[in-house]
Amino acid sequence: MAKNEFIDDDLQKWLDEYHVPIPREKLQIRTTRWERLIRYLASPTQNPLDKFHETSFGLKLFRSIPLTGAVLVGVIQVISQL
Amino acid sequence: MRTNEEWMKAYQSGDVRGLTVLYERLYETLYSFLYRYTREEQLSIDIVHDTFEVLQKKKHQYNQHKGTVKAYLFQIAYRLLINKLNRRKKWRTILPFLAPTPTPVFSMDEKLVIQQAIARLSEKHRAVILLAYYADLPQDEMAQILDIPIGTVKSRLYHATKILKEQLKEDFNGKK
Repeated sequence: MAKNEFIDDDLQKWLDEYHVPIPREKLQIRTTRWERLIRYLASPTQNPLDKFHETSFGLKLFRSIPLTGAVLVGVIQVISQL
Repeated sequence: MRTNEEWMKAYQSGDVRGLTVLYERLYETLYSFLYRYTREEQLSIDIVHDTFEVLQKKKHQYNQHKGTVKAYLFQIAYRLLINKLNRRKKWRTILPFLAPTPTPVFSMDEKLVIQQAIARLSEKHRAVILLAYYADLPQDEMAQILDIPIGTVKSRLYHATKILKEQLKEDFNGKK
């Protein structure tokens, strides 16, 4: 740890507390590009359908989809009778 | 005991032990810098590997008169890191839901105030603090790594320490 003109003793004490565990075993294993791609694809992502699971949004959809469908069916019936 | 620069020279001349010695001497410091910067274990490991791979490919581009091997290695690692993070940001903008979410590593250390304070620093301020204090690099080498003038290094270092002190102020008072 280097002493620096801008780093006083108090700050140095804080900085010294930050230790990093070195994963030596993992660092010995060289991963190929293919393995990295697989890891990338397998890593967790956000669910694009999350919005639909939200209660308020889901309820709105639950109400609006049948209503829109009914209106559409009605319109089609009216048009077909003309 | 041979210096890093002597081992690098040996490696440039074909002595493969040079690379092994350099790896053994420098991988921990490099990993620590990358981990403190990103707080992502796997990303840091990948960049350590990539850095030494680039060093193998570009071993003849190293010039002893331009700087130390450590600075050269950190320069490669920093560029790889920034490229990787920029690429990731771009993916997140284009396909926000497809970009993998990094797995946080939970440990007792996570609770450390200093760890959180460093993470809250802007990227440019974080880099100078980590290079100056933990990687023990002189300001001219930091300027080389970050590709900025030495005056900018000094000013960033001054501001970074100021911000850190302000963030830790309450805890300083609490400790006293």
